Amino acid sequence: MKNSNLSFEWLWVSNKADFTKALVEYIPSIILCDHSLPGFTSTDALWIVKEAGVKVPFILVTATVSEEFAVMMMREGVADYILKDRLQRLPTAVVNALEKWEAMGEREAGIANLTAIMENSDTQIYSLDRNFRYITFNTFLKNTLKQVYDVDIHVGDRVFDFLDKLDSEESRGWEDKYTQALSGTPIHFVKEFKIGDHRTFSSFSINPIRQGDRVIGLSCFATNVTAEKLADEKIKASELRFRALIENNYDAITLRDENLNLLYSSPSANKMVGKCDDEEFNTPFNDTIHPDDLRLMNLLFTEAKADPGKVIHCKGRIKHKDGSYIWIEGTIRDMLSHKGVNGIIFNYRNISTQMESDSHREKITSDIIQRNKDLEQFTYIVSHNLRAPVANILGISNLLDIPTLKETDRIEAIAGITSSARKLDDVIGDLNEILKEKRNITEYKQVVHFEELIHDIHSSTAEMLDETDIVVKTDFSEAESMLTVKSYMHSIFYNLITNSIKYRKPDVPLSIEVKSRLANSKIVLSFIDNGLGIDLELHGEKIFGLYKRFHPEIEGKGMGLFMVKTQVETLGGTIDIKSKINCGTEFTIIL
Amino acid sequence: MKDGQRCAVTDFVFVDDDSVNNLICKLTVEIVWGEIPSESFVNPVLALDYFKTSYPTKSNHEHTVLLLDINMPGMNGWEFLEAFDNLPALTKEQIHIYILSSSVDHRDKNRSYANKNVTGFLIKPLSLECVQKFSDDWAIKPD
Repeated sequence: MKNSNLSFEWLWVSNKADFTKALVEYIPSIILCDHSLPGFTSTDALWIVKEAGVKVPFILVTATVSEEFAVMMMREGVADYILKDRLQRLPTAVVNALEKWEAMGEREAGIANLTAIMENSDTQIYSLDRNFRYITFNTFLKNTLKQVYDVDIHVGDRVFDFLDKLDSEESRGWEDKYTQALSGTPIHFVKEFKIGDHRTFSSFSINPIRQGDRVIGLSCFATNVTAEKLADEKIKASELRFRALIENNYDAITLRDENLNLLYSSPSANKMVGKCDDEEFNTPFNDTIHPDDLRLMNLLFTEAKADPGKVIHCKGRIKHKDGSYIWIEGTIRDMLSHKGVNGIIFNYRNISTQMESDSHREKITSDIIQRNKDLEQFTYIVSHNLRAPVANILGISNLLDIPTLKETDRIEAIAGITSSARKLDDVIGDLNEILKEKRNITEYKQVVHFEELIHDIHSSTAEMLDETDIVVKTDFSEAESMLTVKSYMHSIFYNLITNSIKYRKPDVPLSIEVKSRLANSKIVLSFIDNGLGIDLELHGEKIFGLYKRFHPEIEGKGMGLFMVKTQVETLGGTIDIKSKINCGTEFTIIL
Repeated sequence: MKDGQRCAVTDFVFVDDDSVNNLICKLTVEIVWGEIPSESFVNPVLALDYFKTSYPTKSNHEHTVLLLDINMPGMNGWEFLEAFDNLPALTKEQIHIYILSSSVDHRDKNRSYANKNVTGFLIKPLSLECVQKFSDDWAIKPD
């Protein structure tokens, strides 16, 4: 051995006890054993090795041995035997024995591993030959078939044998599947089994086994997926339920990504704006919101994103397919980082009806407030303007009873009765006109051309307009006419223009400018003069009041602006004034 | 009619844009007080000017009765009272203001009495009875 260039260590033992001890403590890689030893034989030694479970090659080195004995020992697991007169073969025999032993060990280990995998798997594993006979199967399959169908399967049994007995139709179904797999296509499917009240699901994988180009059999795997399947069904059912809840919800439910692109839009959300899914998905967020609400909505989304999970309340208008806007009220909530959502939830409901009834109520309220103001004003008129001439007449009547009243005074007093009676008559006439005006809301509308109106007024006030240096400039290019109540428009133009003439600056040529323009689909009329103007800080609230006069030195009743305002408001418009003392006045009417 | 004790009113000022009322006032006070000096103003601004120029010191106007209307164009009675309050104390104490209004609205009356410069609130037309009682309101004041 030493001459063969092999490096090794060795231990020599010569009796049974030392040998047994050495097996455990020295742990040899190979055992070289003589046949005849003191107190025991090589047969005993081999038995000791097996008994100890030591798996190393055992080579018998002996002087003479019968061929029968040698064959017997080889059967018992001896790796080789060397005759003492042919010891030159020993190194080769040792090397061969070790190599062979190692290879055998590996194969054994491989098979043991495979068996362990098969046996410990929670998958039923079996293989079939081309005639659908079991080649191998694991205990799990065997036990399952025994347990479920009370069938014992053996290697070589046809796989359909027991199936034919149970359900021939089912059996043919399997035959089709196996045949298909034999043609070279792996098959994967989940099959439901009903055993009593139990439903179980198995996932099958049937794969061709190939040797070169030929399919020589099938390797089959069946895994119980009942738990997964039932859980899956449960999830699907629950998803269906939630989907149904969302899709049948009256409220709109939408989901947007961080750039506000639409991810989901519930049927009610689409229905609210009269759009189908695609149309809604193709509309940029900014185009779905009323321009006036856009800034606020974007701010609210930013606020929501700054504080994920926080519910932000919002109210605004969204655009309907037909171009109209719908008032909505809802919530925005950033759930971008929420695994199941990954979006910003924007839910809302249509509050247009509510808003309409609110605005209707507001209008009623403001109408009532207006009526109340009118009543208060009426009370004031009764208290002052109506009662003043009456008081005068009463006072003078008392005086006329006094016998000592001088004749000149008596004449003057009687003239007072006349003028007071006239004033009384005027006030009653005014009140009648005002009340008539307020009732005539339904007077029919016609197209009124502003230029014609100016012309009419010019002819009726020719005296005033012609005698002095007055320039009236008009520009109705942007809005030439409007559908309105002509008598009201005439009165509005007449009063404002004659006011400008009345309250002009005496030493400056009067310029009156009347213009029309369009703004937010409304007509805006401006009347601008360079007259006396008025101190709005002092008189602001009273400017449009009845019998309010601000230039006592100039003749007037204090009716003009009151009538203008009443008529503008009756037409559903508003009137505003800008003025500065000695800098002129500008009235703006929006209709 | 003249009574030495009660004949404390020295003169009258009437402020009302309605000249007929001013005439009634003038004739009525003359019936009660005889030939007593009076001034009528249809423009309250001119009345203020009159007080500024004619009441610098204690004069023969010691107890002037001012009958003031509320509802006037330009400057109304309330605005007149605001401007009046800015006059020198000496001027103010010579003038006894009565609101003479056609108003039967209690709010005007309450507002009148709330003003410290207003002595009384009268409803038009000015009656002889009222005129006779003028000095009673202030002649019994401790001062």
